[in-house]
Amino acid sequence: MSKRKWNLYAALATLAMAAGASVAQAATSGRGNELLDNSNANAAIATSVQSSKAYHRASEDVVIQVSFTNTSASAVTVPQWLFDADDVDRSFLKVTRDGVAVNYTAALVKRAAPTADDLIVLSPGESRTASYELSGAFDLGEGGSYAVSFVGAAQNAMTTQAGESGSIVIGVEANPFRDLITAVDYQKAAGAGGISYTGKCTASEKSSLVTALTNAEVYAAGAVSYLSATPSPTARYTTWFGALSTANWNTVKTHYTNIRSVYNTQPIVFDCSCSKKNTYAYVYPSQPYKIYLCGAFWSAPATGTDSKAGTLVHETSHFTVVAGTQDYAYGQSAAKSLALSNPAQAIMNADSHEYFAENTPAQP
Amino acid sequence: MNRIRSAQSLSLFALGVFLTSMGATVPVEAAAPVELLSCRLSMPTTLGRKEPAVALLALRNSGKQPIAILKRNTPLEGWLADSLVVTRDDQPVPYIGAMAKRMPPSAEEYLLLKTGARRRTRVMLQKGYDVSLPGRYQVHWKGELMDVQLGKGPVNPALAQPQTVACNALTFTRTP
Repeated sequence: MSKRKWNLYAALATLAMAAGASVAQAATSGRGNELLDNSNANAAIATSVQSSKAYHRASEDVVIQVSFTNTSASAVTVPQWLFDADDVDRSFLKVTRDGVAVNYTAALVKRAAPTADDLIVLSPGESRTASYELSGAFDLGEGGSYAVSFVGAAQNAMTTQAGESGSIVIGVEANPFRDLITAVDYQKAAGAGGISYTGKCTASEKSSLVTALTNAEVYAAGAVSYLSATPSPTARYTTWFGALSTANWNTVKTHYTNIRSVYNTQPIVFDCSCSKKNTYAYVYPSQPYKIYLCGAFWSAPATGTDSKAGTLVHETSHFTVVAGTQDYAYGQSAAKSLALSNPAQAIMNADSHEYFAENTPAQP
Repeated sequence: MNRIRSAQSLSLFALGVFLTSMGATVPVEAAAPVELLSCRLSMPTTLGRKEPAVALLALRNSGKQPIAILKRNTPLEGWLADSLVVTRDDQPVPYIGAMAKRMPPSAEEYLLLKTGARRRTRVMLQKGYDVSLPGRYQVHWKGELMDVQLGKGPVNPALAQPQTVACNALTFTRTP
């Protein structure tokens, strides 16, 4: 954008302020789901919150955007970490449900005084937008309507010169695993032997892995519970493992029992050094229980088809001491074909175990 | 001469079957492109105590069409699957390589063999299987190909044609 346009923008912004309207609203009017901030007219930086989606499925990330606009006549600075997608601190956001603050579960970061490199300069009228994923930082498991606003973080003075935003309301589907997860001893679900990390796992990756492991335990426990029933040719079983035989059913049940046992009793090591974009994860089957996560893993949904939790089930099933599965077929389409053509391979195929556990879309 | 003619007619037949199969959902079993592939696995029959075990995997397209082979989970791409059967003194030798969950393949994952073309790949056995101990080893590639297509490799996973190519078993002895 040219300097002249910026000046024009700044002039318009000033006019808008004078008229008692919000800069952010003026700049983005026409977008849905946005409310204006009037609460801190004196702040140099006006903030506003937006969401491109009004409703989020339980398996989806809940991403909102916050715009920071310099409404003053001089340049101001904001900390770079506000725009860092990998930063773990989201405590400057406030999320409420029915007027009650929702538990914040991520980190509170006390930061050293920023150097010039840590700051972003906003010229008068300039606006920058940051995206924040909420489900990893706030307990949204209950589902419902959540009000989200930017409030600044008390422990970070740098955020306080940004004014509080108005709030927007977003809908989130209740997490179907919520009851199960809260019933699970969290430490235990995270591997009784503990979790450790090698190879550059960032804080947000670690947090994401703990969630994935908890969900994977729920998946494994759900599969064991399902397969504890009398063997029968259910849609869910036959879709992924083919024609029913009691022996096959019991083999698969043993696999999930072993997988669940890993999550509850074994030390697990995660390595985040792989960046291959077309790979979710890999393991050395002869080296339990170390799982290497790659590029595609981080963009996978938390639960559901080809999710983070499902990928952990897939990888865990590869370990020779667990189930010793192979990769005969990748993807739902190929896994379904395999079930039809070769049940003996299907019950030893890692993706088939993943899809049965994910059960998405749900089959009885 | 006879042999060439039969190879030609086989290739035409395979092409016909292949084209027919594009519209159908049933995978083709007979006269698939894989039958136009010849496979040979070779290596020295005796290895010294510390000599690396390197096999040569040769694939040849004896058909009249280029063949695209998905290299995924075969010895053509390194060790991301337990694709060989290895025994030492008739006891199974476990796989020590990696296994990966992957997204649908891209075009770069295909090996394109023109008509009459041969590709030889060095297969570093010791990276996938512990073949360090002395003994008599047998190595057999299962020959499982996740997708084989005539022409340039397509990337629609729904149209993938899994095939099994027949390949010889080899034996070698590692001396103490």
